[in-house]
Amino acid sequence: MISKLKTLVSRAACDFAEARYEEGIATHIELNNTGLKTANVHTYRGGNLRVLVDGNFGIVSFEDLDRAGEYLEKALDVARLRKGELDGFGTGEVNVDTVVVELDEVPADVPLEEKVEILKSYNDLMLSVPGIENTRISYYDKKDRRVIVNSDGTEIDLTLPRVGAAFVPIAVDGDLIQQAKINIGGIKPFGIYRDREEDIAGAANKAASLLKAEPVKGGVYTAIIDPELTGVFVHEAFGHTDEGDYVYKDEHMREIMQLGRRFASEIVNFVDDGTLFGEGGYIPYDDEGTKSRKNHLIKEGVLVGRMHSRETATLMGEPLTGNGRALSYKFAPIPRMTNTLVEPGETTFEEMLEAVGDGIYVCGARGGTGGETFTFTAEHGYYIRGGKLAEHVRDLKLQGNLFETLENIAAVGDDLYIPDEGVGGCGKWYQSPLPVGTGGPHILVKNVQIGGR
Amino acid sequence: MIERILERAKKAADAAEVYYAENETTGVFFEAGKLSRADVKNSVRVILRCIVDGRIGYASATGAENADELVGNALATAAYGKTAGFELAAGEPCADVKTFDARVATLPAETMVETGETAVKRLLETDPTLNITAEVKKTVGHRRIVNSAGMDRSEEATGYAFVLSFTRAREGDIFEHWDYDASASLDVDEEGITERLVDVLCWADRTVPAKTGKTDLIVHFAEVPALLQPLLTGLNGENVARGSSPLIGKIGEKTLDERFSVYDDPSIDYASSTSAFDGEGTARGKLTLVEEGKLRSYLLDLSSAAELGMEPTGNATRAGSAPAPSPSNVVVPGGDGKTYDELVGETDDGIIALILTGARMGNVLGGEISASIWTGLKVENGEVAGRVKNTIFSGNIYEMLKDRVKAVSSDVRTIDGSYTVPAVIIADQLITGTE
Repeated sequence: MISKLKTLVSRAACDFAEARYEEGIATHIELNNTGLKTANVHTYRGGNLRVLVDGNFGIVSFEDLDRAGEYLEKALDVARLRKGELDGFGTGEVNVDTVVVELDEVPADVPLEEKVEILKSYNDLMLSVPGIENTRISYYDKKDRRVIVNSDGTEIDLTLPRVGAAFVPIAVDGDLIQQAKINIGGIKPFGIYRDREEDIAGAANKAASLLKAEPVKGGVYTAIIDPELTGVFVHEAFGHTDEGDYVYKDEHMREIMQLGRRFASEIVNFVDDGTLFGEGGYIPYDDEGTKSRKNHLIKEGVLVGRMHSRETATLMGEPLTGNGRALSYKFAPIPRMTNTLVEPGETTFEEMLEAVGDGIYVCGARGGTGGETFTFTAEHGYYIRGGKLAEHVRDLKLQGNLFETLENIAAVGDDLYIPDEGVGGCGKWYQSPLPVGTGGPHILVKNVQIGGR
Repeated sequence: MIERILERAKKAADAAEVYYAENETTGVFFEAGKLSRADVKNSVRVILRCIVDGRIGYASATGAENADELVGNALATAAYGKTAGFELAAGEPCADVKTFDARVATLPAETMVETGETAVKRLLETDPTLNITAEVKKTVGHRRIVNSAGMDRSEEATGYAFVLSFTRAREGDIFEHWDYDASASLDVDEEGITERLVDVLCWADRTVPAKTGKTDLIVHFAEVPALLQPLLTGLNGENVARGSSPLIGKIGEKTLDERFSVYDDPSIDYASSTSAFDGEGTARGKLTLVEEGKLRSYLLDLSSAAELGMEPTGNATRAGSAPAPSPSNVVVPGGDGKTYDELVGETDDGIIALILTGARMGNVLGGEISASIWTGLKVENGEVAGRVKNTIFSGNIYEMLKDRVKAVSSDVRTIDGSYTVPAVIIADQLITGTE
C-alpha cells in the first residue's frame, strides 16, 4: 500500500502532493455500575491524499484502499473547484525517518483478561464508597502506525502506542447527582493502572463529598485556579486563539495577536511542547512530517509565537512549529496543540491563599469552550475566607474574556502539574478527540466571573 | 463478504449479527469568506456482534476483507462480555419511509461552492467587515444488517447540511453567531438561514448592559433541543436500566408542564434521523415519550428493553460498536396560543437565548442545565433593545419545564434536520450578568 501511495504522490499532476496511510488496532472497554458493558477490538486502515492545485487543496480519505487511484482523481477534481490563496507551499522540512516508540509494557499487548480484571476491581472499589451508586469507566488502548510521504521527499513511518482511561464515580442522594473524574493515560506503559486504589477511591470520596457541598453563589471573585483548570484555560481560551489558522483567517485577530505585544505581566509564560515524552500530546513528528519541538507562546508576558501547520506558516511567512496534526487519516493536518502548559513561577499555594484573603479556590474541569470569550465548568471549589480554605462548593461555571483574564493573572504558582490524558482530548473542525496534554501550576486570577443559581 | 463473516461467526458463536455501513461525504468549506478546503471522505464500518454462552462480544473493522480476524476478535471479547438478556430476531416488517434523495446524490460540488458563495456575498453586502465561515456538505450512504435469526435488511440514505457563521469585530467587542440546518433531501432553506443572520446582525447592532437578576428567558427554537437534552438523557433506556436516571419508575407521572408533548418520530419524510429500522434492525415508528406532561415511554434498544422487561422501541444507534439507545427525530408540537413573534412582542422584560454554549457540561443526568448565553438579545417592552453579552444561567429542567413555563409558541421550526420544536419562555429565570 505504501509503495502504491508513493507512486500516486509522484505521479499526481499538481504543485504538491501528500499521501498518508494509517493502520492499527484499538481495544475499547466500557464499564458501569452493572459491570462490564462492552469490550470491542477495532482494526483499521485507511489512506488520505492531499493535493495542491493553483493554491487550493483537494483532500480525500478512503477506507476502501483498492480505490486509491479513483480517489486521487476526486482530490484533483475538488482542488480545481476554485483558485486558492497559497502561492506554493513554502519550504517544508524534508524528513526521512522510521520511529517505533517503545514502552516497557505496551498496553495493546497486555491480555484482555488482565485489562478487564483490573478495571473491574477499580469499578468495585468506587462502588464500595458510601454514596456512590453509579460508575462509568472508559478505557482504550491502541497501537497506531502512521506513514507520511510527500512530493518533497518526506517519508515518515511512525508507530506510537497510546492508552487512556477515565474513571467516573457518580454519587446520588435523592434527586441530587454529583460526579468526579480521574484520568489515567498517555504514551505510557500498562503499569500506570496498577496500585492506583488511593487515587481512584479519592475521586469517589470527592464525588460523595460534593453531595454535601453548597451550590456556589454567583458573582465576581478573586480566584485561585488549580493546575487542572489552569491547563484547560491555557488550552481552550489562549491556545486556540494562538493557532495559526485562527489568527490568519481573522483580520481582527491578526491585529490583536501580534508577535511582540504584551498580554500579561512578566510572571506569565505559556509553552506548547510536543517533545514531552509520555504526555497525551507527545508526537515525534506532526502529521505533515515536521519534527515536533518546544515552542514558547507567551514569554514573560509577551506574545512570542504561535502554532502552525505548514499551510498557515506559509501563509503568514512564519517558521514551522510542528503543530500540523490530524486526528486520523480521515482528516487533513491543521494547526493543533500538543502539550500546552503554563510554566511554573515562584509563588507557593500558601502565599496565594494569603494574598487572596477572601475569594474562591476553583478545582478541576468538567469541560470548557474557548476563544476570546470562554466558559468552563469546574468540578468543585472552596470559598477562601481570611486566607483559609472554607466551605466546599459545587456547580461552578466560569466565564470571562481571554485578554482581560490574562491581564488579571496576579500570581503563578511553583507547583507545575500535568494531569494524565484520559479518553477525551481536543476538538476542532470535527477532528475530535485529539490527544493533547494540558497543565500548569496554581494561578491567582482577579475578577473571575462565576455563575450560580 | 458480509455473508461470509456471518457464516464464519455462526459456526463459532450461538448467535451473530453483522452491521455494515458505507458512505461518501463531500464537503466544501469557506473561511474568511473564501473557499478554503474541499474534501471527499469514504468510510466503511463493519461491526460484528457475537453471543457465545450467553455473553456478548464485539469486533469492528474498516473493511470486510478479513473475516477470520474479525470473528477471532469478537470471540475473544465475548469471553468477558456482558450477559445477553435478549435474543436476536428476524425483525417485524418495516414501514416505507423516505431517506434517499437522488438530487443530493447527484449534486455537483460546483453547485455546493456556489451556494456558499451566494451566502457569503449576501452577508458581506450587509457588513463588508464580517469574517464569514460556511460549510456545505452532502453524504450518500447505505447500511445493511444481517443476523443469524434470518434478518437481512438494508437502507440507502442521503444527507445535506448547510452551516453559516460570521464574526463581527469591533473595538473591544467580538460577536460570533451562526445558524444551520440539515435534511436527507436538498430541502434546506439556505437563503432563509442567511436572512436570519442578517436579522440578528441588525438586532445586535447595539449592546445593552447585562444586569444580574430574574427575568423571562425566551429560549429560541434553535436552543430548545439543548433544553430537552437532560430529558432525553433521562429517557435513555441504558440510564434507566442501570439505575442512574431520575425518571426511573415515573412512567405515567407528570414530569413536564402539561403543554408539553414529546415524540420520537423516525418516519418523517427526509428528516435527518429518519429510517425504517434502527441500528439493530428493529422496525421503528412514531413513539410518544411525553404526552401532555406525562411520561409515556423510554428510549429502548434490545438490551435495555430486556433488562427492564419492556418491548424495544427501535431506538438503537450504532455510533460505537455496541448499540446504544438514542432518539431519532424529536418532535414537540407547538402551543395553542401565540406565535414566537407575538410572544416576544408582549414581553416587557426578557432575554432571548439564540445560542447557548456549555449547556451539556453540567450534571445533565440530574436534569441540570448550566449554560452561557453566547448570543443573547434583550427584549424591552416588546422590542429587541440590543445584544447582551456575558450572561450565564443555571437551572434544572424538571423544575424549569414543569413549574416555570410561561409560554410555548404556537409555531415550530426544524432544527438541524431532526428536531421540530416550538420556542419556550421560562419565567423568573435568574441570569447572572456582569452588572
